[in-house]
Amino acid sequence: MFPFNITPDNALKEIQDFGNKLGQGLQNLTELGEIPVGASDYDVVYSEDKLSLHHYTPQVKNPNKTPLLIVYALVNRPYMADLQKGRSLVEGLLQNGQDVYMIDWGYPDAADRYLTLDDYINGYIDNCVDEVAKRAGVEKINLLGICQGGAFSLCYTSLHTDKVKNLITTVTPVDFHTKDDLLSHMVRNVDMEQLVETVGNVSGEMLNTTFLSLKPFRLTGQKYLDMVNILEDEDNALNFMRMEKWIFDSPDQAGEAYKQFISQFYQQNKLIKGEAMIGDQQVDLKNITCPVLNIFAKDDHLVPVAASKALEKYVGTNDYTSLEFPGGHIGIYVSGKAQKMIPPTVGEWLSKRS
Amino acid sequence: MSKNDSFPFWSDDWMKSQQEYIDSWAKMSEQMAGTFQPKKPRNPWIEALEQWESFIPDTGESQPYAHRMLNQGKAFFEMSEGISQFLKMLNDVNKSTDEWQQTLQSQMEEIKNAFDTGQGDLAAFWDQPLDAWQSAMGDSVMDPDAFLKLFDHKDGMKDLSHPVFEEMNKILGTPGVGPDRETHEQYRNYTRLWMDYQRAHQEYNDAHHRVGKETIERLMQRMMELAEKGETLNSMREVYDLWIDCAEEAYADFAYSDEYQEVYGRMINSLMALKQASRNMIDKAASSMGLPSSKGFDTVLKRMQEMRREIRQLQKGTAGNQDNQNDEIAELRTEITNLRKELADVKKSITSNRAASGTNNNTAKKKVAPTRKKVARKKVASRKTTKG
Repeated sequence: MFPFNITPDNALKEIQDFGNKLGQGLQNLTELGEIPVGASDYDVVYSEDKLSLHHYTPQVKNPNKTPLLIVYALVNRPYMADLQKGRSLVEGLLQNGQDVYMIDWGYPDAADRYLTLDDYINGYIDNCVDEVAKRAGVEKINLLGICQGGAFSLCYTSLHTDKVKNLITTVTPVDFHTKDDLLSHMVRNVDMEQLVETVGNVSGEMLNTTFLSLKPFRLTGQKYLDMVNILEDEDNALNFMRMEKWIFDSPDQAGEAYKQFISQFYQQNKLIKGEAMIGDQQVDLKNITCPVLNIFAKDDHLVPVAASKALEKYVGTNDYTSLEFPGGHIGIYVSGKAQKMIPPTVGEWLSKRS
Repeated sequence: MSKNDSFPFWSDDWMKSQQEYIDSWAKMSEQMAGTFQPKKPRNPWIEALEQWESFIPDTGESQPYAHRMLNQGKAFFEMSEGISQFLKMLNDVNKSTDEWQQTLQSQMEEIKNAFDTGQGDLAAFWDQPLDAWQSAMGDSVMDPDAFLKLFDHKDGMKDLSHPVFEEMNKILGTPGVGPDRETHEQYRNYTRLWMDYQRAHQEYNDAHHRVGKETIERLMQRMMELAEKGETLNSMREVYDLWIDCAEEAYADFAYSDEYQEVYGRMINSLMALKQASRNMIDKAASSMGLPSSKGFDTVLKRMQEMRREIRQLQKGTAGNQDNQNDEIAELRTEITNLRKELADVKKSITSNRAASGTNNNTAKKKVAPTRKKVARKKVASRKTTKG
């Protein structure tokens, strides 16, 4: 049978409709103005260099006495965790009785070129943990890491067991050499020493291009054709544009830390080998004996399920829980499904252990 | 649309419709800018989009997304143009026999050939992600591709077996002499690195185009499968989506291969080596004029970070010492409190023992009491005697 059922009339109409929608969509797009992001109220309670520590206003009368610190990745901006009302992990956690803090890393520039993983983990994160603990009057706090921030949280907990009560990792790469990890596969032969020596800080644009090259035709082509339909409705248009804003709001990466992370984690898979070095300290995941909740996304194209799931084999805790979310790397924070699933699970899990 | 035209893609109606379309765009544009003179379109759909693009404000958060959407719109129009031409061709053959399959095959071969020459709309569309990559990587320091773009495929410069490259290799192999030897060596090294990058980049391009051809193969295969199952593609968009599916599948197969890892690594590494060499040359020139070099700036940054780290450690140390002292004081205070408590307990215990013994030997106490008093008096008397 002939596989085309496209009549000239239909084709012409399709093209005309598309053109009209495109025109209307462009007009709507240019009229959108500033794209608002952020849902929950917060105070900046600590700052250091480019970093600021946000404390979100609790939304229940007696929140969990053990505060929860969210450690976001250095890649992209942390407002993904609090994108808008009804699409916010932070909002969900607050509603589920948590006292939430989050680290905003800011935008590194040339002055941050030589920041190392040690500076980030034993410096910035440790200072934030101390600050949060001091404010809450507790010795140990709860830690929630997002993606690369999850890997940082693992390192931190391994090195500071006395400061973390419960650890939650979300879409966190642990085994960086799983077969389906395209990102890891791509960078395996890149000379990181030379790259960072040449470009200094690694530009956000360069990172974006790398991420887009994981699915280049869908992410740079098809998506923008779909956008034509999305722009017809203002709310949908704003939702779409918020995501776009976030995707391309990519801070540059402090060169030295980036080199250490790609080289030790992505290229040499040292985290699971117990060989990753943060400053002069060796990270051994077996040191992590506090309760661990590991959440990963089934359709994650950036951090495959196997890369996250591996954590169970390497941590030393006897209290390990895992949760597979039926969605992707970003959907786990912003989708409607995620709002119903992730914050209540985290809240309940923490309440039992705090 | 004319009823008697059996398959009027690119017929007068089609063109008329396009002209109406560009006129409506022009009208909208006039409203925005006040002046707009539509030209006779080469492809009116695309031309209209280009006209519109020029009216997108240069500022505002949405601006880059508007351009992205327009680019994809153009790509879709280009693709639709190709599909409609293709469908027109198929319309002239017998669809109930294998004839349409042969036509499909020959059309697909033509598209595949376009990848070899880099010509054709589809090949250009295919290269969009690659162009984005080049732009991102090139902008970081300087753009070697801007130079490479001076040389087209046609003139053979990108053909790595071209004799020019062999000749260049010979020249580069000639040892430098004289007072400018070092400078010459630097330029020769730069040229060598440029050639390495050129080679690696070409390798990547070739592989990318191979994936393009593989996509066309898959697309054809999927169309045949649809035909076998009795299913149809019912719109341009469905054809486009199928093409994207095939492209992603073909790309994923390549991207997960060892070859990709090596080719990608070589391309990045050679580009970085080239950029580093160019930076070194700029540094040398800057230093000769007494201007700060990027290397010098880098050293400053490194030292600054080391100092920041040391200061923090010292601060933490001082804070730590203070904390230790405070801890010690607190410990001592606790100890004192405990000692006081113990002392109080001991005193209490003695008192209660005395009291207890007093209660139990009440009679005895009374009996011995005068004796004690006497002894005491005697002691006082003897002291007084001595003193005096």
